[in-house]
Amino acid sequence: MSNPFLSLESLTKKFDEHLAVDALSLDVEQGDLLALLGPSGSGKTTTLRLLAGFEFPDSGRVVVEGDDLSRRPPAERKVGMVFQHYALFPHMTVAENVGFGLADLNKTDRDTRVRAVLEQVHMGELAGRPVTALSGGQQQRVAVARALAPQPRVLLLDEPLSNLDPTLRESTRTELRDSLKEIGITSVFVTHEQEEAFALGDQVAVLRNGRLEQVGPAPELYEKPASLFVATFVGRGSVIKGTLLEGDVARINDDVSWKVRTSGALTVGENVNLMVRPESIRFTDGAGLGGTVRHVRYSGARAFFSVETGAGPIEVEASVHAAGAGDTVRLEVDAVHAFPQSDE
Amino acid sequence: MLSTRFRNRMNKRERGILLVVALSWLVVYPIVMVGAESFREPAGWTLGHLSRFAADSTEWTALWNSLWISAASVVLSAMIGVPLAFIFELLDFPGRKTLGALVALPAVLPPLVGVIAFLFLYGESGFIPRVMVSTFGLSEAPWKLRGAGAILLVHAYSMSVYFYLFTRAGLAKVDGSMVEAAHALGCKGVCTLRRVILPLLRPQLTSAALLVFMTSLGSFSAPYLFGGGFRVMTTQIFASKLNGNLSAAMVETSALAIVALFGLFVFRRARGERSVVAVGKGTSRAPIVINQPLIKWGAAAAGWALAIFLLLPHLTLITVSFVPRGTWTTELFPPVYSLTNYLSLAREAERFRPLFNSLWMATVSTVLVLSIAVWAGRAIVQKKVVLRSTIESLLSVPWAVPGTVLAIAVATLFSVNAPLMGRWVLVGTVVILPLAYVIRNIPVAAGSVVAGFRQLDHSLDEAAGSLGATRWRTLKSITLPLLRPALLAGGALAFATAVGDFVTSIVLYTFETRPVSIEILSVLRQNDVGIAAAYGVILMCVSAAAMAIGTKR
Ligand SMILES: Nc1ncnc2c1ncn2[C@@H]1O[C@H](COP(=O)(O)OP(=O)(O)OP(=O)(O)O)[C@@H](O)[C@H]1O
Ligand SMILES: [Mg+2]
Repeated sequence: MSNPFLSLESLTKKFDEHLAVDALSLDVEQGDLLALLGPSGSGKTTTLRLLAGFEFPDSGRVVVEGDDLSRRPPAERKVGMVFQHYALFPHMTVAENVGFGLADLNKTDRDTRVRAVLEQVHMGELAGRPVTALSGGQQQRVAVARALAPQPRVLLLDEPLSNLDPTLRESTRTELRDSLKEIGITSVFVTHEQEEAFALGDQVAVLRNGRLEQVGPAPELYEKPASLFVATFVGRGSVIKGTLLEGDVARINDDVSWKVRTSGALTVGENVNLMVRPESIRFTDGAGLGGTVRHVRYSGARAFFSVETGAGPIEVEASVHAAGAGDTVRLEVDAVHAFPQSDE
Repeated sequence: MLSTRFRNRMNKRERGILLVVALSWLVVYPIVMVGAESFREPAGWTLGHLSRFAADSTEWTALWNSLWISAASVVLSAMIGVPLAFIFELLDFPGRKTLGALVALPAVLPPLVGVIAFLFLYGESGFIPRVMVSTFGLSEAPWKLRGAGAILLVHAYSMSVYFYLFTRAGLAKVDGSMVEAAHALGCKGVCTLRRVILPLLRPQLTSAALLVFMTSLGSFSAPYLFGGGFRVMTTQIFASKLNGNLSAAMVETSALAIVALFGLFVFRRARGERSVVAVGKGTSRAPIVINQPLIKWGAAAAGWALAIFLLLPHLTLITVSFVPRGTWTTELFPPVYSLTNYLSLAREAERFRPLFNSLWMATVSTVLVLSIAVWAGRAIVQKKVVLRSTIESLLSVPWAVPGTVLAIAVATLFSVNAPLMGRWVLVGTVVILPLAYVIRNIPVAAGSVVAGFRQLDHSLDEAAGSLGATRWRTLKSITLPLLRPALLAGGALAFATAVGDFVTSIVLYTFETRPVSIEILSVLRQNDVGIAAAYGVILMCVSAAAMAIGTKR
């Protein structure tokens, strides 16, 4: 494989004794969008700030096109950044904001470039407006345009959609992805929402306590999670206990054993955590794990049933009429993941 | 290899340390020097100066006078300022808006100018005594503007505005629903005032009290001109210095500094650990509209009478400034008015010079003090916590130091040439006054600028950096424009203080660099009241203009 466009090589950053980013290695291909996904405090923003040059790593490198940026100040990196609260300069117009990074162009070239970038984000008509007179969505687009104007090699976005109201989020998301893809810029963005990461990222990197848990395209993360943490963080799932038998079969109780997918090194006879997604488990009339429906949550034509079983509570997605609260039911699975109990 | 990061971080820390050293040199070192000099004699260390101070009853009297005058000023100013604030905040009457703004008028009179305006108004040959003499056929002025009473009058006039402004600011935050809640719980009138409103106002009232106390303690102009035999600590220090009794001046200066610090400590304690924060959104409370004609017009009349009292010094000053020398002798009002005084200020080089001096020294010191404030503000929002609190404390030190103390301290530090000790002979040069103004104005400038920095979003700096801007360009095109209101506000206050300064100037001036206030004093001695008043009017207008610019949004 050719050298990646952007590499994070074993990046480490400590704040006092606290490891905010811990030996993080990631590669991004040219033109790809990488999503950094993780819970609060997992080191997403810190990673982005290390890339931008606002923080310097204690060890490790940031390499773009074979060029080590780790020790360079932000101004010399040619890395664009879209801030979480946009950080637009409040005393300037839209055009002045976008033109700020183009100080080395003459006025004509600068105006041309500003107009072109504003067109790309559909903000051409508002060039003369003060940025304080813009809606949240418009501010977000100006922030993107400003970061793109100097033609950076990499674009960084910190929770780019978190300041928009929910109704606007989905359309802006699609628009943002389309623009970035059209320009073909290599981007890294931070989010703590799985849905956003999956919708925007070509690759999704899941962080936990500053460490990389798994990186890959969305379907891979969902279907082949490398750990229980990734499995539960990137989608819904119930976790019950079991024991691993030979031939990738896990025993739930005396009557029930399920075929499982394993990840990590597991030994026969080991106690394991089993993760089942609600859509991979169904009600059955035949043999299966017995339980009682405790609660039903309706969601359109489908419903989520909380079933209390001997092995613990399990969530099942089924059609609305499949069962009712208080019913005794039996459950059969299509796919179960087994993880070592040490990895919690 | 010395990495950029390493260099970068060292630079940052070094810059912080450099700032701490520079600030300490400016605000702490001079005062420490005075403390040390109190125990020094040519042969070495001694307790002699101290024991001479302790044994001298006039010293104790002066110290006691300073204390009680300051305490009495607090009480008087509160008695005037607080009720006024309640009236203006709670009652509606004709002219309320205009009058509310006029109450701040004393603030545009620099201390010495206020004092001479009082002299022209209430002094033995002032307007009011002349009117009394002619109305009641007296043989001489009914009073002498002398001693503690005169000092207190000036203090009450110029300092009640602090109580007024602070109380109004506090009242504006008192939520109407809180008062209603108190009423619903059966607590009305005086009970609401005592149990709800006053406790909520406590932080504002103690802040105002502290401000008045410290200002009175450092007050020099009024005791200097009106004190006569009545000595307070500031005039005592000045007299010792003038008589060449330097060691006594040092001990007195140290004593006053200690009293000031003690006052600061007491008031900080009184403000309380718990700061009261009103919870919930304030529902605004409309002023009570009075419809009963008697009360309404009574309030209006009282308000206007007050406004006239506040405005009289300004009017007097303006009037006197148009009176040519020697034309006003026994008449009730001056018979001749002309522009002679102003023309002479503009035309005669020696008369114009103090104006020029005051303006350039105030301008230079304002630019310098703002630069220091910006430097410190940047450091405070960026640096690690340890350094930050050190810098913040250093910035507020001069606030607790009376002007006379500061002047003596600066004179002491810069009268010896010892570059290795950070001392140069600057006394007698053009540098010394602007330098003293800078030190004196560090707290006001920094207060405003640091608050401005706190409101800046740090990510704006980072955004500029990531867009390729150098640190200098970021400062010039992002930070400073956004700080403009804070810079204007802090700069205006610093400028107004410097341009009207009397207390530090009288210790440090040289003939060539004498500022307007010193010149006012000397023309007064030559009985040139018209010229003195004209200088006063100019200072008043310059201060007013600075304040107007500073509060413009
Ligand atoms: N400047 C700093 N000084 C000290 N600790 C810091 C600093 N910045 C981040 N941290 C710590 O580093 C860890 C990672 O923080 P970071 O902001 O990168 O998390 P995040 O994944 O962006 O979280 P969030 O989703 O809440 O924004 C946290 O524990 C945080 O407290
Ligand atoms: Mg974050």
